[in-house]
Amino acid sequence: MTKRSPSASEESNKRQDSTFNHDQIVSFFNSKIFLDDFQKSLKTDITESQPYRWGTVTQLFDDTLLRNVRKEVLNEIAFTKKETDIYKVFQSGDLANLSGLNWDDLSRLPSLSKLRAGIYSEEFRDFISNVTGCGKLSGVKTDLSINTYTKGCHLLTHDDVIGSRRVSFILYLPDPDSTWKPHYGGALRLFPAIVPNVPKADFECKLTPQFNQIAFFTVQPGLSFHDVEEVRVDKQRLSIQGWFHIPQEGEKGFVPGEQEATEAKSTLQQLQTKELQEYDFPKPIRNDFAANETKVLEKAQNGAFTEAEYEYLKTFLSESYLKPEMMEKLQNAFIEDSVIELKEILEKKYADALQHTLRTTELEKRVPQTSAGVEFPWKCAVPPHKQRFMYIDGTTDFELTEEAINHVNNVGPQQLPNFQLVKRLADEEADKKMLDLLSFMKSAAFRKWLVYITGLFPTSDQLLARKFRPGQDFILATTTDKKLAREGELNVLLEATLGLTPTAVNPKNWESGDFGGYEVCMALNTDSDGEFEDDDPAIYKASDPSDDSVLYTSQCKWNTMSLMLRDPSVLKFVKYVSIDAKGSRWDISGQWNVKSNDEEEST
Amino acid sequence: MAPKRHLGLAKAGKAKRLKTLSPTPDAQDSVTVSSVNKEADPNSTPETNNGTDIAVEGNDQLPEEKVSVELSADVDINDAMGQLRVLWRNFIASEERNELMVNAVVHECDRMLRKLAQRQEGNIDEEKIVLLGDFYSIYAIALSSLAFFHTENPKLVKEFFEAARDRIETGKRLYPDSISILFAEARILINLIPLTEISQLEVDSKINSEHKDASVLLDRCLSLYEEAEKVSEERKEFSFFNRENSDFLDALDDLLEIVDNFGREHPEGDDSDASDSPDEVVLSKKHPLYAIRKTDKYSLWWREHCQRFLENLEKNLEQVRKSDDQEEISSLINLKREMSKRLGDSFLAEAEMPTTVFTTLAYYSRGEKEVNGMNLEQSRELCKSLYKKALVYLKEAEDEEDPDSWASVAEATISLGNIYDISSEEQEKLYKEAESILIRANNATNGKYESILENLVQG
Repeated sequence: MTKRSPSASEESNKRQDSTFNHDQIVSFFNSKIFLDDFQKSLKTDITESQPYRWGTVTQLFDDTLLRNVRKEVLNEIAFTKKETDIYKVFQSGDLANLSGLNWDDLSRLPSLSKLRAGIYSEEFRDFISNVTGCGKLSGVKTDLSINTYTKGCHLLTHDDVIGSRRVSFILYLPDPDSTWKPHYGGALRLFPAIVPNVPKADFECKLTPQFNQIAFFTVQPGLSFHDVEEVRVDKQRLSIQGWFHIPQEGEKGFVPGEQEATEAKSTLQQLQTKELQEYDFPKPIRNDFAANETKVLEKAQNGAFTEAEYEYLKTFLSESYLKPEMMEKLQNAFIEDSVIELKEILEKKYADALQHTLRTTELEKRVPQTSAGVEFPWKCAVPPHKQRFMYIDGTTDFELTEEAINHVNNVGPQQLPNFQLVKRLADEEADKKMLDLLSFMKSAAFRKWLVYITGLFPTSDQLLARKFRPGQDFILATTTDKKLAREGELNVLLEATLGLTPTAVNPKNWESGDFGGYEVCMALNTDSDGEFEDDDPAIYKASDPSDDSVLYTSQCKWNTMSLMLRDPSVLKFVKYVSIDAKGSRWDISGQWNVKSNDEEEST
Repeated sequence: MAPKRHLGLAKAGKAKRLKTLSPTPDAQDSVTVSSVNKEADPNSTPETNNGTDIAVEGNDQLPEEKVSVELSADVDINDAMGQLRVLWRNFIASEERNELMVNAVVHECDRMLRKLAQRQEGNIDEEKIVLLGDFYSIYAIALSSLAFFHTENPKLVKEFFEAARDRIETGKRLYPDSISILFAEARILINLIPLTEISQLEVDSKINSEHKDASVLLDRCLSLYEEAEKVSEERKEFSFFNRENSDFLDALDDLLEIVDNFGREHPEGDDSDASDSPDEVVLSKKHPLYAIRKTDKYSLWWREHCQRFLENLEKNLEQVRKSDDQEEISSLINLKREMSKRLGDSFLAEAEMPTTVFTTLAYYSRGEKEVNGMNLEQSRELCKSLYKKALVYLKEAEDEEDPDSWASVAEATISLGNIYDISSEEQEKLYKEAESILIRANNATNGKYESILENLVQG
């Protein structure tokens, strides 16, 4: 995940800046930072800080210098909007942008040049080393970028751990003549960890940035998780951010082999984070159908339903989709393209009543703002460096603590979902209606319909009702397991997304893409043998610009079902929903292991 | 079962195609299958495609530009005039009016005229082309609208307006009773003022043979609109009080704003919401915009005719409700809300000055009894009257689906409350009312009104 933070593509410079002498460097800063008492007090603050060691200094630089830096940056530097699954930000110095910032030639930017010299000066590095106790820092390996977060910009949870980074810092430069208020958004938020490599669902500490304030922390593999809250106003939250690296050869504090050891540790940590799925909820577990049901499904005849099946199906589905000719057409289209969208899938009266109920809930009840506020039958998907959303999986809820998670995973009852029983316990009308639909999608009749629509035989399923709340929720790009097929199955998943976003009745609420919530499928690169590379999912970032890797994209929808045959080389993500979205993204997500009727197809 | 094998999305994706299927309500046994690959998706707007592209850095492939129009079920596919109206309405209703859409309208008008000419030569086909007055009005306004996309080329701008005028003249000649053409003539003139007159002016320009007094043109333009309005009312043709013609009032509002801001330097990009707006630039009495700027006559005209438009729109709505055309009803209701919001905001804007007077005299007075010719009670009464009027319209503009519209009512209610004595019964009642609205709006918008709410509760 860390590779996708906005500055990951920045080139580090290795050149000692010797343009300025000691007195000049000192003059760039507020003199207080060189006083022993100040450093002592800050050191104590950092030692006692939560959720991990971090510090902040206000009025760090000479005010005039920093105001000039801001002017230079805004007048001289081109910013490019960048957006991926993990962030939206305007960034300078993109290597692909010729009008971007050239850190080797700051002649047009004299104040910025002073600022960089100041940041990487021995004087300031010693200050940082002292107050954080992180050890010596490199003055030759510089690593800076300038970002501006305007309305809608955000950066989701990550830990900054890459290569030889030792300290992360962010120097804030919003409008110097006004206070940046908490309700503008754009705060730096720090997340505690449940265990190393697993951040808790909610942040513990929040810093509202002000002009000439710096925040910094030692990069701590598996611990230093943080994010940038979405900016809510039309203001520039400008910041200069970067890293101090470990000393390089020839520098004071250089330790032979330390660079390699740190880099190895970073890589190991990334692997561990990826492998560590014990703390992921919901887990990608599909429950097998009973053997006799699988046999019945395999014998299903083209388009034939019993009267009882038909009556049941038409209480939920539009009758158009139950006609044999229609189902045959759909199946042909599905086999051809592996993805189809079925609009107006739910029966009209049923759909209208559902839309009204869901929208009323949204308007009358504020969505939970923390994971603790999420109440049964809903749960909060975690961990937040991979995903956050509300879901119903039809089992009991539990606390997101190490102990409770261990109980659920390894000790306690291993539950199967039961949506009908859960409905009896649910209070809210909207939840009951979602549970009705989940129960319907568990039905034998629905499974038979799926056979007719897809030409595939499902053998197991997982169904989740999901709600992606504005200002909080998303799923970062992820693949499925590499080996999906059990005996006789295809190495793919049949996936359904039933779009139930009530505000998508008016497509204008979502179609611009500015409010996120859309789902994207991308192709992961494959090697010459057709095997996909088992690497960081962010690999698409480095792909060739002409590479057409987007396979499918879908805005938030109302009453539309997409059916997709997803192979393990498909990356999928749901973009963070903006706090200014008109409502939540609601859907029901289904996954099925499948067999084919063609024996040659199956493994 | 189909004979082909299942590929999986990644392999099938290489074919870059996705089928969209939807049941058609009128023919439930049939299915429409349209190919919608992501480069040129006739079912999605260009914005939808942007949504895709953002995830792929460096992928600057633009979607193929196309104009697609969703015809309502009532429009006969062979009715050229019906289709042209839909095309035009889509342009007017779209948030980002683009040149491609106007060009499509102009081309369609050209095509229809060409085809009619061919028919006179004996070429007959199934398409129904019956031109009415609104053909020429659409044609003319579309031509004048093209000028907005070529402001850097005054010669071209002039040519577009000449062509537009030519279509108006033809329309008047062929359809002398057409109300539509009267509205169109006014609409074109109000496009012309900023594009051919104001765009040529500097702060030190003076009225002469080259630069006319803009107020003369504006007066003529308004009298044309008044005429169209009067004839529509007399003939009880309320359908003209629709989105297309409300566009004139929006354009006037924009024009008055342009005149007010003329000569001001706009701060560069940063801090677009800065509260200190630059000072108004003083214009000489001989400046072509002086006469418009010095008076509030035009603002009052705008407000009066917006109110009248709303009354007539209500009558239009009554008639449309009888036809049960849900699409049109919903479009007119939205228009009513939008216009009500603008009217409400205009009363709020008018209340700013007396509110400042009231606040100064009530809380910061150093012995003054009057500011701007008003004493405390006079300013209080004026504020009350203006806020109450604003509230009437803001309540009309309320949309159950749009929490921001509820919050506008709450904010105006707070402003009204501020005018009463601190902690008075009236004030407390108004604050309480605003609070309950804001709590609901705050829930529905994920805390957007948190700070206002806190301020209100703490206060």
